[in-house]
Amino acid sequence: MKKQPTLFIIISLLVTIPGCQEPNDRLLIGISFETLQTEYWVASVEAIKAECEKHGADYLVAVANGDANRQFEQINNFIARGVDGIVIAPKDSHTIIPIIKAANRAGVPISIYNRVPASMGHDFVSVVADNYEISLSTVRYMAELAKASGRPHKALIMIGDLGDMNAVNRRRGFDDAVAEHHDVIEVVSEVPTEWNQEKALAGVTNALQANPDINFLFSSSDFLFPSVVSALKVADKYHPIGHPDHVILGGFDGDAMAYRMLQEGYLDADGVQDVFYECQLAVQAIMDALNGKSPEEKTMVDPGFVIHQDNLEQRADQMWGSAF
Amino acid sequence: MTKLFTIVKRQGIIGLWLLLILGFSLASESFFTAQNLVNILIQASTLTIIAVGMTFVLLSAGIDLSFGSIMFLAGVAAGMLTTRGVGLGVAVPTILIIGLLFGLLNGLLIVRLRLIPFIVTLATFYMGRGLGLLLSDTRAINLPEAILQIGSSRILGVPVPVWIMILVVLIGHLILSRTVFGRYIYAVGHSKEKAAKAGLPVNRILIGTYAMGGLCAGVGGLVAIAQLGAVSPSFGLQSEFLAIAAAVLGGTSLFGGKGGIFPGTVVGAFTMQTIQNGLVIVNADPYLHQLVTGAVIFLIVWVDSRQNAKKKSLSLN
Amino acid sequence: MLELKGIRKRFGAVEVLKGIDLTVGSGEIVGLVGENGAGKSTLMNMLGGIYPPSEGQMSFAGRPFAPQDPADAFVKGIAFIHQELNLFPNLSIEENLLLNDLPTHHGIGKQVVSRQQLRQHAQVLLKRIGLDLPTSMLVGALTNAQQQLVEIAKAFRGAPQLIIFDEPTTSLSRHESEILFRLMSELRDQGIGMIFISHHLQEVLSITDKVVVLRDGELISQNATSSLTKETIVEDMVGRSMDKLFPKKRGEVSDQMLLDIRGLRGEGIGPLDFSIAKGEVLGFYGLVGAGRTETARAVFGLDPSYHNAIRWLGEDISHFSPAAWIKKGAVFLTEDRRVDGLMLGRPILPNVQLASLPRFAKRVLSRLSHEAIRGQVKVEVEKTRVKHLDLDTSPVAQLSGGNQQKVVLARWLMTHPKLLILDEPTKGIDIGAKEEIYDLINQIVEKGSSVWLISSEIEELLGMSDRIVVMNGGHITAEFDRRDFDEKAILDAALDRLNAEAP
Repeated sequence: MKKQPTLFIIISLLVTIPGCQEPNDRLLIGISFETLQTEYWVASVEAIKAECEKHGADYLVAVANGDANRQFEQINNFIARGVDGIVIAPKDSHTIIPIIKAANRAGVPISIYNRVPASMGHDFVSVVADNYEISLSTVRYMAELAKASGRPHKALIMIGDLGDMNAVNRRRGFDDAVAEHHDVIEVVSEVPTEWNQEKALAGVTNALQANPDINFLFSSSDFLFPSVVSALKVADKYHPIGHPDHVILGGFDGDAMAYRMLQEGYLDADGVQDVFYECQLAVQAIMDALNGKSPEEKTMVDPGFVIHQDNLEQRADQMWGSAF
Repeated sequence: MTKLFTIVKRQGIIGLWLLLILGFSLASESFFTAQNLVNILIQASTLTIIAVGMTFVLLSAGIDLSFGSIMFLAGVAAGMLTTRGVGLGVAVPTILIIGLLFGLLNGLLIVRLRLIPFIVTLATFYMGRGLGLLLSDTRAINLPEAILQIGSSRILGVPVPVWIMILVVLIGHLILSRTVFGRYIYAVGHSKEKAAKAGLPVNRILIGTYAMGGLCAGVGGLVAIAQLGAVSPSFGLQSEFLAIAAAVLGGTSLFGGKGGIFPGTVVGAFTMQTIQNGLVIVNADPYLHQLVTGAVIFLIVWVDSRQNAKKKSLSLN
Repeated sequence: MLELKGIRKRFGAVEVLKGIDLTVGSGEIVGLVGENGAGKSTLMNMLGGIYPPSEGQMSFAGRPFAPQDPADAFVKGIAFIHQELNLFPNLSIEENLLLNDLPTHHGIGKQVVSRQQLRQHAQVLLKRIGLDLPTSMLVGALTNAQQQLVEIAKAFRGAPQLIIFDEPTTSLSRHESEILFRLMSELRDQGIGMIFISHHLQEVLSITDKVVVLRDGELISQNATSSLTKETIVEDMVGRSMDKLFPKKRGEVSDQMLLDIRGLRGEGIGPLDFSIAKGEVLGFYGLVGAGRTETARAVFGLDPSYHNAIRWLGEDISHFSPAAWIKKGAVFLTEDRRVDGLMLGRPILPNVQLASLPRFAKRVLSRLSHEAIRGQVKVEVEKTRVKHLDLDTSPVAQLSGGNQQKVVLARWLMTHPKLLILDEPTKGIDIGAKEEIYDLINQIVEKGSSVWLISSEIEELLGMSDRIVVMNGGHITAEFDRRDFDEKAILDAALDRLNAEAP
């Protein structure tokens, strides 16, 4: 087997990255992620590791590759290895329940990152971005720009996977913000992307074909921006802010590409999930529990913020994508 | 509804495709325009190319679940090479070779270790994606303008992705229908045992089909990123299922030995892309998209199985 | 032309051929008969180059003959037509004919098939066997007989002087077999020698010049066909006389109807009316495709059907399914043993007990009495005379076809069925095993159960049935009581085209 070295690296990457050595007096935190398949998750796991280091704790990392069963096993392994706390980005809001129970039974405090469990009847803390609120304020900001221009706008929204609550909430935020400004904005196209770049590219191209006068575009995730930019370029509609044919662009996440587009003056607004803040809350909750402090609220909400041309300089270092 | 059924029954997938075009044209005037039809062609190019590769594999009674991973690896390789200043003259052949080698690896594992294709390619699906994630650090790679040029330039007024698609379809079709290798694929797909008894080099033929599959996935990946301009960590995910769906829609049997690229797979891929395109053009409810695609696949497979049942009972009596 | 002298073959310590002397002349058709395991296949495999003899000489066309492999045997002039056709229905006739030697273009198109040359070569081959069909037709669109002929045409890629036919007529109807025999006599006129292996003694008698009988690896007799009868051949094959083949049955047919069917219609069949009395053996005769199997499948609820009335022991049954039938005591043994649910990898015990488990388990979760079951299985296996090593280790896949068939029978007999539907129960099994199955049928009806026997072998039906129903084109065209049995009239009813086309 010539492939063995590579295989080994992959497996160790996917299954468990051992943290530092295990001195007896240091805390050990288990970090479990459902997936690492987007930059957002990578940034999150890095931020959590950094928080652990800040608290002088060691950590184990496990990635479940979208498999809820595997995630459950990985948590059991953590418990068997005697971790002091668990930070988890779960597969979904239901499969997390047995995991919480297992952690409760073992008396290990658990923080849940990015998703809210379906049932509240156990001991845990969850940290989520307010997807609805953030996209609402992002699109509101875009709508005010549209209003200020004094022209009517035709809008397109790129929708994520409709099986994902976050995608659904972002769409709701968009819908409500646009409804507040129905006098200037008319939604002419809703493009389902299933979180797939190729579908996104085809969808935007087709929408621009059907409605060449689209000049307001919101993408439910920043990672679809390459597709948006390609499609706009082909339609000769990708121009910087200030250009008469500029399409008002907004996104969600706060990734590196969005940061660059802001810097270069193409992107008007981006709803940022404050990864650093969320990860800080998640790890802090563990430390509090270990010190016997019970949380004030079970669900902590990251209000996030909208980054745009006017506040870019002040808030850039809170935007996780700027670090990449 | 009965009329629809009759048309589909008589004309098969081509009839259904024409019906869809007619329906969308009536629903929106911006559907049946030269520009939009060209758009459909461009958007269908990637799917058609990988579906051609999948047709080879399916005809041999195999399956390849690693197409998306091959596309992803090809994309990551393209990104790493071009962002380090390697010219397209080197990068493009390298990408194609990666696809070919990955396909060869699939074929070799299946033949030498005598494992079933489903399991082998499921394993290489994970390996390929894992390797791609490792190499790319799970970051999106933005590609230089030069690659986007491939996606957006035209030769004789026809976009380059469409040219590449035509070329792949043509070569694939000729190989299947005219060459010794192509005819052997049908024989092996019908029955490996019989093919071995007839003295055919079964293993070489099988490896060949997976190599063709891998190569097409590589080409498809290239054509896709040339349009996207970037490779994200989820690039290519689930492409294999779209490719299988397109081939099956076009009449290729999952049990091997039956079907073909032209018109079969090509029309299958065009049909799927027409649905995608048409639904966006008429601004259908986003929840409808997958429902409609699923319904069309169901309709075709149902009609096909009804016809097969009828043929079978005819031959019995 | 072919001469075998003192051929012996040993596999390990077992000697399967014990000194065979055999000659085949040019233009001679030699029938090779014997029970399964008599050594026919071993002998032919040596001629076909699959393995060499342990002892003895083979000479062919005046020269010593020792083929390296099947391809070598073919080059040297011996073609082997196997029982299972090696054809690809999804390829054309011409591609099938020349599959491992497809003619190609030269130079750059070295891998590209030359359609023109392919067609020319294929036409020459088809002409040899007198098949007049467009060579680009898909083989899947051909009839069984035409496919068989295409398989034979493949032999003429070389210059065969001897052709071995291994059970070529098993999948052919009588009419189709005649097409094959016509070709064989034409080949005989061209001076080609042939070896014809068959279980159908009638066919062997009608087409061959000489019949060779093997038994237990020994050549028992080698006589001119003109001096033989079916009885003498059977005697040589089984070492006892023919009378025993269809043992006289002792069962009394009762007046009470077991199953009565009115107006049954299904895909391609009906409307049909027929009935089976208690203790009766009802024979169903017809050509392949006449709708016999389809009728049984429809009655048993395996295929969709409509009917006016179905009565079981006088009681109206409106809704039925295979499970309901089995509960009532009707079982169906389909033609294909493997599909029929034999677990080939498991030994006899679990295979036989399968259908009777519910009877042994009082409640779904109650413990089974393994000893009781085992005892019953043993009784059934002995009654059906399954030749076996043991009940619970050797997988049934190791048994011969006839014994596998008997395992299936044993399974259902253990449930004490009232009606046994047998579809071609003796197809492809040897005479000894056939005899035992006939014996079992007699035992079953003796106990008052009924048998619905579907068969393509007219002798079998004549010997076993109380009544014969003839199907043709999906309809019942005639019905004969035992005292009116007339082979010719039955055949006419099965073959008559005019009747077949009547609605």
